[in-house]
Amino acid sequence: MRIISDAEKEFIIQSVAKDVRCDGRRQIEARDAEITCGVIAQAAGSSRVRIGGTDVIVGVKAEIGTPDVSTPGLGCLEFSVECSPVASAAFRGRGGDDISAELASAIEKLYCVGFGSKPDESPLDLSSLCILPGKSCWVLYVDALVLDLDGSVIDAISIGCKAALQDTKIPKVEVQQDGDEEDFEVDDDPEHATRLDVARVPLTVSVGLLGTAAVALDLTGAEEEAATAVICVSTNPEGHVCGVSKHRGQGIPPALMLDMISTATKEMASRHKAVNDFLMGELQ
Amino acid sequence: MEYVSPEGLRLDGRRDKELRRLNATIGVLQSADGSATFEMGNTKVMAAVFGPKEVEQRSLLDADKAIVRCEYSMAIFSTGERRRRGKSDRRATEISNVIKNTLEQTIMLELMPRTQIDVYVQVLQADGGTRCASINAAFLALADAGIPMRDIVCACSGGYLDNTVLLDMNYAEDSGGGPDVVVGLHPSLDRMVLLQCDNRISIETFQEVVDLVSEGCRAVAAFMREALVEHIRLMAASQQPRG
Repeated sequence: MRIISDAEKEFIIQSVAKDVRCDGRRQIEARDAEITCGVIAQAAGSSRVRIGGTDVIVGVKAEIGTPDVSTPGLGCLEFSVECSPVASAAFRGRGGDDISAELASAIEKLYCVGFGSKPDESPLDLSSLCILPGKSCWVLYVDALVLDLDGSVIDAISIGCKAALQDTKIPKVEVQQDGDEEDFEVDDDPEHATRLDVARVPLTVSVGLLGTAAVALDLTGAEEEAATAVICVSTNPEGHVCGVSKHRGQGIPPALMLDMISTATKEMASRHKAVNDFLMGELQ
Repeated sequence: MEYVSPEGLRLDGRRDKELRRLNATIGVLQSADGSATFEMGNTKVMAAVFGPKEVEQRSLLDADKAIVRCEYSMAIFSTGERRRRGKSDRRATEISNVIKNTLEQTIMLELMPRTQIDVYVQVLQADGGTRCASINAAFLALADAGIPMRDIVCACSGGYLDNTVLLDMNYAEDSGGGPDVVVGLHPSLDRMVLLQCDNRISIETFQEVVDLVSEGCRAVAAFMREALVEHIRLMAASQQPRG
């Protein structure tokens, strides 16, 4: 997105190689994420996440719909990402559509929904969203809006979705049996609403290769531009790798790639703990 | 439905000539040259300004003045019902043009020939008066970007329900079927730069509503001026040498 000169690129690569990045961080130091829940009054759940200059708002709406034919006992999760023109002039009109689709697809993979996935393997218990098997279920629409970019957008969105889903209040539903007919009634009282258990949901972190050997975790916008290659690694709180995707121009030697993935996974443990602790705190 | 109770209270407890609670934050985004959020009650809008910069489409270049490009978009979660609309939403295009037209009259375009100024408005929460909040947010963002303007530009809306002239309507009142009047003002120059009215209204009532809404605009302008002064005071304080 941003344009940087060759001299700036060289400066960034050398600074990472010397373990003193432009914002003072060390190679494997991630930025702090600032999370606020409940920022959108009319959404069932919402959050705002800021990592450096990257700013994302996520809103969740819960509606009643029909379950997928292949999974009658599960509710539905639908993700969408929109890149607002306020983040960059390149996103005006349909300019942001490609990136938005890619980001939405990446998030869907974290939750095992979307094309080619198995929703019953989702880290979120989708069966808790079922109302009448095969007939009615909760459909959660998770909409992310990117307001500002400074690298690690997918990381911020992954935290935002997790926080917004934690913040979501699902109204209590009472199923009534009336002879052969089954019907349900939605309880409007927010005191009776239930919450989802998001503890197992994975998060992403970006790790980049700068130059030929320097590795940096959680890249800023300028670092992403200067990077030779970027890998987005998704890990869950148990420390398992849930997904890997490589971006940008050049290839990486396999040994180095495994190294980068394992570094990312190790460093993510502290972020997972911090996020889970924060979300637990929000519940009280 | 009763919009004004016999005691003179509206649906949200306000009096007929009362503005909703205003809130403004300036300089909220890193990437944009200027940015601001503006809230009027539950309506929350964020504006970003990019420019003045090189014109992207050479055919639009104007040798005498800057060109303004404007886009208004609503977040999917901004309304009560999830808003699944395409980008070529007619209402959004109309509002984009309204904002562009208002800003073109405000910015001193002739000072920046051969350039382009992009103003993007993102609605985060919609509860009536989004175009007004958009113009107000855009003004603050332009000020944050240091773009020269002829005057403050402020906008406010008003209407007429239950035989009462109302200032700054929320979504419920907007949908009440009465007239909806939007006024944009340059307060010091005392010039009206935007006027829109929907629905039937008598000329006498129209004059009353426009007068009231203009008063509302001036109150908004005073608030925005104060917000800008406060922002500059904070910036100056943070740049003071220590010790």
